[in-house]
Amino acid sequence: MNRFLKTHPFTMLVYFLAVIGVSMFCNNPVLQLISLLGATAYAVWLSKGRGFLSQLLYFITLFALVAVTNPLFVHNGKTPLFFMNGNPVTLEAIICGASIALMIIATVLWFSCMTRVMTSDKFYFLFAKISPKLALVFSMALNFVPRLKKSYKETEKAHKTLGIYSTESYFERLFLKLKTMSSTVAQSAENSIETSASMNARGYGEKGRTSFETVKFTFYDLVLLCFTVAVTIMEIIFMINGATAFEFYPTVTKITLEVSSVTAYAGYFVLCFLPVIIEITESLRWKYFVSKI
Amino acid sequence: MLFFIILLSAVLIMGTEFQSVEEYYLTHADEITEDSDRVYFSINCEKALSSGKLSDAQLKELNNGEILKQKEYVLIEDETVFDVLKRVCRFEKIHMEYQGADKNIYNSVYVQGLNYLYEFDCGELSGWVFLVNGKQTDLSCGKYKLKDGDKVEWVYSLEAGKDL
Amino acid sequence: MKKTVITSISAIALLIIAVFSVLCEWCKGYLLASVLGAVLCCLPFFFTFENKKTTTSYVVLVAVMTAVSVTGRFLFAPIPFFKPVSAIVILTALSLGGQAGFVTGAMSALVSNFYFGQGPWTPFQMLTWGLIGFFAGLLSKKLSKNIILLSLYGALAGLFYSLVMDSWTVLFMDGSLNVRRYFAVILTSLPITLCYVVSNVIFLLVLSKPVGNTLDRLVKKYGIL
Repeated sequence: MNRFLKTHPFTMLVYFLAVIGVSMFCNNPVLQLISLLGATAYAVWLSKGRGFLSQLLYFITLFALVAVTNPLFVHNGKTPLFFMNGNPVTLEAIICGASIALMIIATVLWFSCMTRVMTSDKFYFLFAKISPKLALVFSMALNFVPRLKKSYKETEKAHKTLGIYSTESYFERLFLKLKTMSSTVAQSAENSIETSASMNARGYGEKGRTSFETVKFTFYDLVLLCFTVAVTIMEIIFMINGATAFEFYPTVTKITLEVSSVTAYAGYFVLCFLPVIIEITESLRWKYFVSKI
Repeated sequence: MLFFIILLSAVLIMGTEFQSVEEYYLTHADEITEDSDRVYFSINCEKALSSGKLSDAQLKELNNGEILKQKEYVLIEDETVFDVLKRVCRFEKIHMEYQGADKNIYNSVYVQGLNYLYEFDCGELSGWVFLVNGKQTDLSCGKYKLKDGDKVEWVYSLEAGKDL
Repeated sequence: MKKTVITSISAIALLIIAVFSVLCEWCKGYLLASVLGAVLCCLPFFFTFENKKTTTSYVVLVAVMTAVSVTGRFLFAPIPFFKPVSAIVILTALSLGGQAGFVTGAMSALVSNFYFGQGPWTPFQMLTWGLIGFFAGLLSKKLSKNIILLSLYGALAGLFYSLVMDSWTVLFMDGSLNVRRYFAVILTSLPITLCYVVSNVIFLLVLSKPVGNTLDRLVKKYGIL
């Protein structure tokens, strides 16, 4: 279930950047569709199907909105469907809007997968190699947020008991929320000084301080990384060559099945579905081993 | 939030004018009588073909540069270059996209594309320019009033009118 | 030494990719270039923050203020476009300096997007909020004395944020900065811009005294700066 999650953060980052990059910078609807399907498959796997239907409604609305606004602005295209204020609303413009909408939804889905997979500790690991201070700010901020939320709730409860929140007016309550927030800030800022003092006592910032790493760059990660980079470079070459070139105006390019374009599509297909493929093979292997016990 | 969107779209829909394709093109040219004013109109984009920046699909539409061969049309009194262009394109079923006078800072009508060939398609300085009797005018096409016998040419220029 | 090498190599690589993508028009050149540009612009600020001689309490305080702005964003999430992030960033910059302001802004964008969802807008948000903090730090002498100037700066910051995010929207949809589209997007998002401006001013007015005093007191008491 979690094999992809256990890959090295660097490989993971490169993978997501590659997939999202190719999806964002190529306007071929076939590639966008492949990207969308891959993202959907992995998102469904990650969330185990729960909560996906509500998101589906949101995505359909977003799709319709974007697909509809493009024809309103762009009137290029050979086949007008009807005229609006003297300007034609064309089929090509609608198809182009649909393609842009596909790209947007695919990007949103990929980023939501990335948020779930690239957890903050992986981010911290990547950061810490480059700039420890910033990594520290990042990880401490993440750590402080739940603590702040808790302390805010406590302060709010105390204020309520004191009867400060008894006004009916919406604006006054908003104002009081801000006051509570500022007292929370003061409290946590003072406490943080203690934290920093304890860090100093433990020798933070001194030269020669070691830390323990639990992440190793294995051969598996290397293979994944090379595969991702290879497929991305192949896609880029195809994009420059024009195998995946796509025009919407004045007429929509016909999707031909030449060797180069099919290779491009197939390669990207494998890349996008890679997490799902990895997860499925791992769970099948697990079931096989368990059945043998 | 949803209600606001619906309201906004209702307002927009009521404010726009919808026509089907047949309705839009169902205009006919006025008859040229003996004593009516007339203008000669042509649309040409030969320069764009040589720039090499157009896609194959666009080149197919461009008909070797002559989108509209010079033809005579009736001139109604006080019509500007743009009025005639609109009528001609509607009658000859040529695709045209323009930006209305209220939508740009110069308060003038601006023609963005004719027959699927748009401004900037062949570089940063490319676009549609019109000549009246062989010369460029100071006024925009929405403001220049035509006289009987004028010859109007719409030419696609690659250097903002300097290469004509 | 090693860090410097890695940073400069990656910066140069990003720059090359950005320029390359604009010159060849095989992809939405301007979008890639601007995303990379936003990341590149953040780098020198991060670099100076990293190499500055700071105490642990300085770094921790920056982290706390980042957490505060993220929590603030959470708190007011039900009210759309009402974010205290800019206000907290500005106030941090006033007390702790421009670099702290930049890092607070950039990190708040990064961290809050972990909760709200990452997106290609992240580098732009990081850069915008970071710059708001940085310039507040530069003007800190004038802004901390006069509350009207502070609210004016807050309003301008809201406007700046909205303009940059609108330009990101246009770049994302079209791939290039089409001026007409940009104006259309600005017009449609005018109410949102107004929300940002008003919320910034309100938050600054309410929070400047308490938060500012707390931070100044801590700086004096523990000798952080």
